Formats: sequence, C-alpha cells, structure tokens
Amino acid sequence: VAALTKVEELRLIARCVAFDDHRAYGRLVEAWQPALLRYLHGITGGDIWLSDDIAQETFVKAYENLSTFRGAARFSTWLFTIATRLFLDSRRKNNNDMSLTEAAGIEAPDNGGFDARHDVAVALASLEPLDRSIVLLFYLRDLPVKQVAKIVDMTPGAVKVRLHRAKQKMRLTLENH
Amino acid sequence: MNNNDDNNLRALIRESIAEPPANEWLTLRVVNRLKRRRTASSWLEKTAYGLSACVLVGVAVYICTDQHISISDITLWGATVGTLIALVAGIISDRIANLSEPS
Repeated sequence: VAALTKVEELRLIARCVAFDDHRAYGRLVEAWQPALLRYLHGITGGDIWLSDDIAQETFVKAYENLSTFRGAARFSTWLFTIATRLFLDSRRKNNNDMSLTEAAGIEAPDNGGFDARHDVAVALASLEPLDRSIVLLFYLRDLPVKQVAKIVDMTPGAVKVRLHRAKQKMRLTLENH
Repeated sequence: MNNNDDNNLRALIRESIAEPPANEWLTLRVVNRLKRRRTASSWLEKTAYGLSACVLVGVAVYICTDQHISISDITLWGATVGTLIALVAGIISDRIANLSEPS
C-alpha cells in the first residue's frame, strides 16, 4: 500500500468529515494499518488477536472523532495516541500483564542458543505496559520525545526518565538471558 | 547507554518486530463498523426535501381550490413535481452508492 502524503491524507480526512465518505476512510485505514499493527504487535508481545481488536477499535474511534482532528499533527500521531490509550486501558482492566510472555507465545528458540529476536521480545515483555509503549514509540516509530510525551500524556522530562529506566531494565534482561 | 547502544537497540527492536502485510479484512471490518453520521450535506438535502414537499402540498391545495386551472397553474405544478422527483432521485442514487461500498 502506497504511503500517503500529508496533502492526500488531509484531502481524505476532509472527505470523511464533509461527506461521511467511508471509502476515503478505507484508504486511510489501508495506508496506516501495517504501521499500527506492527506497533501493536510490539506492545502486546505479538498477540495478533489483541492487536487486531485494538487496531479495529482505534480506527473506528478515530473516525467517530474525526471532526475534532485539527490537522496540526499527522493523522498517524493521532492514531497512535488512541491505540496507546486503548492498549493501556485494556491492560488496566485485565491487570494480568505479568503473563504477557506466556500469553503472547514467546517461546525459547529450539536451538537453545542466542536468538536476538526472542531476547528482545522477552526484554520488551519485562517492561511495564506504559514503558513498553514509550520504548516502541521512540525506537520503532522513531518519534521525538516531545511527541511521545504528547501521546502518553506526560511531560517530556518524565518520558526521558521512563525511557532511561526502561533501557536499563531491557539491558539487564538481555544480559541475563 | 550511548548513541551506539541506542542505535543497536533500535535495530534489534525493528528486526524483532516485523511489519505485518496489509490485511484487507481489517479494512473491511473497520469500514463495516462505521456508522453513518449526519453531515452538513445530509441536513441540507433533508431541509430541501422538506421544503419541496411543503411547496408541493401548497400548490396542490391552491390548484384544487381554484375554480379554473390555467396553463401557468399546470406549469407550476409540473415544475414542483419535477423538483421533487429530482430530489428523490438524488437521495435514492446516494443510497445506491452507499450500498455499493465494500462490505
């Protein structure tokens, strides 16, 4: 799916707001779902069902509130904000994040040796949901700290502190693994 | 962690979480869950439709109570019915266009 330019994106959003154009929104969903699902796979520890549910809910919620979208930020930032909050809410409700590694099916590699992918997945799973979101928004989405702070509704300073602690925790997990 | 560690971690994370292929079912499921909103255009359409219906009733009452029907009465009647048909056709074509959306 070809990426959309900001102008194309705004044109599609305008069509959705003015004419309730579901097809135009379908184009936005197509364009953004791979990146959103990738991020959701990361924060849910590879749980494809939960990722799918959150992605659907995110897109529907975004459409329902599209008239409040001001266009100053990218549509993607807005989507990732909704997705992150939905994920954190679902974790708060379930309150069973400790079983994430197990639930997500992160199994040890067959050869018993070093597997970077597996180790990173375990290191990510060892983090609190909020820290995992911050780490992935920063490293996977490549967003600046200021934007990450807006998404998780914190100050940039608090995000930097959490990012630093999360990196230390991940390093410890990677070293012990 | 220095910048080098940061870059290594970034590369590891990106490598460990692959971008999933586009899932057209997700798009369809999302589009199917969207509810029709009342847009400015639909309000305009409904207002115009209501006004036309009022005019049509008014003209019908006028013609029925009038003793003699002139050519201008018939022209007025025809123009009003024509406007009403155009509006109804517009609404129906809009509904058909919505039905042809991916489902």
